[in-house]
Amino acid sequence: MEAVLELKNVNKHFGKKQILHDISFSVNEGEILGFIGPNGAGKTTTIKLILGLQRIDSGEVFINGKNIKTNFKEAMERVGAIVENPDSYMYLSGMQNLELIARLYKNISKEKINELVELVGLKDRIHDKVSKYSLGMRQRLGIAEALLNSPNLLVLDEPTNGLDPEGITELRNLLVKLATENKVAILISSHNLAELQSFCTNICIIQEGKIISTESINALQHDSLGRYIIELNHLENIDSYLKEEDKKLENNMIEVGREREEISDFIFELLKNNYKIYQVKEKEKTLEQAFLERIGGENDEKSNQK
Amino acid sequence: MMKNLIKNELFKLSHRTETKVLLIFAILVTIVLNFMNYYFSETNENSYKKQLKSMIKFDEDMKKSADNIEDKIYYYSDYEINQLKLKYPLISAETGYINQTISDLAEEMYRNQFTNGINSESYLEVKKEYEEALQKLENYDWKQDINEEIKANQEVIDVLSDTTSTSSSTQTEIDYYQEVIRVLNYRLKNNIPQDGSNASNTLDEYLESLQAYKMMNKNVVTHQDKIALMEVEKALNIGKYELDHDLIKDQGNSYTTIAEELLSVASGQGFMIMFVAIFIASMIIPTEFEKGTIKQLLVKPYTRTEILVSKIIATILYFIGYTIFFLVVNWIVVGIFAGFNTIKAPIIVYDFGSKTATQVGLIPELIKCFLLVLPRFLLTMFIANLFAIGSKSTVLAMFVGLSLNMSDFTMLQKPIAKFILSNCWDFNVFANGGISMNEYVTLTSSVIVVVVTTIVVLLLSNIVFKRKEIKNQ
Ligand SMILES: Nc1ncnc2c1ncn2[C@@H]1O[C@H](COP(=O)(O)OP(=O)(O)O)[C@@H](O)[C@H]1O
Ligand SMILES: [Mg+2]
Repeated sequence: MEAVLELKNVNKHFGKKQILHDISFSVNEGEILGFIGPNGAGKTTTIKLILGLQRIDSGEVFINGKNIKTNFKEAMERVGAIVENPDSYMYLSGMQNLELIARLYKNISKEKINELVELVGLKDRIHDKVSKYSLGMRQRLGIAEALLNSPNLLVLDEPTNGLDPEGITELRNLLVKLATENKVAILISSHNLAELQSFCTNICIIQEGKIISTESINALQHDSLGRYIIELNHLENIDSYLKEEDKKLENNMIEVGREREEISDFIFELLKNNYKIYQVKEKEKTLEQAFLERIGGENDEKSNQK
Repeated sequence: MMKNLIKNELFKLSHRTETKVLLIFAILVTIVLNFMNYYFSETNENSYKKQLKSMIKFDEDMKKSADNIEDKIYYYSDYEINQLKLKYPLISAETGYINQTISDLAEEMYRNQFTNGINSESYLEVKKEYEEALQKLENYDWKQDINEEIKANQEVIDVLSDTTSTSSSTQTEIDYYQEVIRVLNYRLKNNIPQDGSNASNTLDEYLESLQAYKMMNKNVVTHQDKIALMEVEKALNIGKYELDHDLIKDQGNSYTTIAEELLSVASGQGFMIMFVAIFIASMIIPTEFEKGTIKQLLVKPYTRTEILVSKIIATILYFIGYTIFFLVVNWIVVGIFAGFNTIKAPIIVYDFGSKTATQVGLIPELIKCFLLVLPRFLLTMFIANLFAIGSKSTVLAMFVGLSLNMSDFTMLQKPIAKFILSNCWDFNVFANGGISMNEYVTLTSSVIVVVVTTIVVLLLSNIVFKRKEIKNQ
């Protein structure tokens, strides 16, 4: 299957500073790729390169198989995007904004516009000037604008900014629906993993202009499993039972990493050696922690190199 | 599909507050300017009388305080003349007679009074003459004066014809006096005294140009002499044409005509149209950058060149639309102040090559003038636009556009002058065989400079716009 969006070794610098290093990832139809990284990591820059808003130093971007450098018009035909902020004309009404955009694509019907207005819940205010909208309303108008041409690639740069929790939930449901029902490929960036983890199919983590990991949400979740905390009566000689990444904690507790099958053998061995076990609990690790560990790991590697 | 881009740009332009303000501004400016011109025009009876009264008051004060003879002479005679004028309408044979004859006599009289004394012979002589003139004014028969003038001119012709040597210079003299007589007869026939009316002034100007031409050295050496001669020939031929075709008597006495004002707008004189051209060209791109809306436009399936071209075309279309709007506003406003029939004022075009005048229709002439000045507007807009793209600053772009248009290097008489845009981009200068005030600027050099600059500016705009990166906020 051909990827809807594909980046191959994309590099970008501003002045002497290299902002993006060999960025490569792809988004297939029906996938929602969460593009996660702290502020200044290079998310917006990457998205701008994808959309032709900034020049690529080296590397290639393909949208629906079309290279944006040589085939920009065809590549953009089925793209919907919101970059940084929803950029509507403040002195026009929401409806006028939508009509302007509709005119730039072939065959967008009045019904399609109305349908989208309804979808984002702006029906009552669509004839008001955008300058009178709240940030959340502008975001929703931006989403309607981005969906006008029935895109098969949706690129959203931190779209949750300015949305209230309810709005975020609505957006999430909408994106899931678009991905599952319409097979839209979605690239959505955020500095906050927690916002995305519940509905993304894949996560791509970027830090300091480098992709640290790209994997499916399942793999990342798997990574957070398999750690247990065990309370014993004492910790004498316990070291001989622990592996390298296991830890001794306060109050006679230990933290161990074992596969599900291994853990019962481990407990049995402790019991055999006259330890008393008061409690065993699985350590809950969120995606957030897994994420932070990745970033941490990367940093450690770096400091080791120095 | 480009059509839709252009449509969008026009839609956005016309919905901006700034452009709405410019439309209202056009109306207000036209009303204010025309009201001022109407009110302070030399033919406005009301303001004339008010002015006279205030001048009389002033003269009265000055008469008392004047401490040297010259001032005294001036204010005494002025006081008297102004009071006299108050009795007659502004445009009347009487007022003309006062201005031309009586005011000189009054001055002469007071000069004698203050220098030679009230009992001097010279004073009494002038006083008598002055009083006779006043007498004549009471029942002023201007036709009699004109008839006398005709007689005097005829006598000069007779004397000139008598001389046996009818050299070409004598013939020129004779021709001149015959033309003077023709004008005087025209006055008699059409009831045009020397009354300060537009028709009378036109006749006077014609005679002035005739006289100037007679005195002029026809073997011009410098460029300036050549231009002066061409201008006099133009005035003379147009005057002659108007006289030949009997176009003078119906001129009316309005301060201007609709035809004249519309032509001035269409040929790019006046500030408003230029300002709008520069403003639109300067803002159409930076405003999109300021508000970030440029991103939304650039991610659509269009090349940057298409987007740039659509914006430029929209700018041009908007400008043309605005010009038409401004013409209509002028038509209505001037119509209200000067009369709607002034649109029928004859438009006479002079051809420098064949030295002939012809009457033309208003609409074709408007279009011609506009097309000839269009290169100037287009180039101004393109340059402002280029700076706007480069700097993303409307203000800087406007500054460049306005400076280019305000600067005047016409008098820079050096070969480099022909490369200065403002010297060559208004082709109205070259219309009908006209030449530039600057001897180095020719039609050919102007065409080359304008065409080359236009191409370079457009290509540069495209390159700069295509390379522009949309910086992160
Ligand atoms: N025009 C620019 N000149 C220099 N550095 C820039 C410019 N734009 C962005 N950067 C730098 O590039 C990095 C990535 O920025 P950005 O893509 O906006 O990050 P993010 O969207 O992930 O917060 C930041 O370190 C920022 O300082
Ligand atoms: Mg960002």
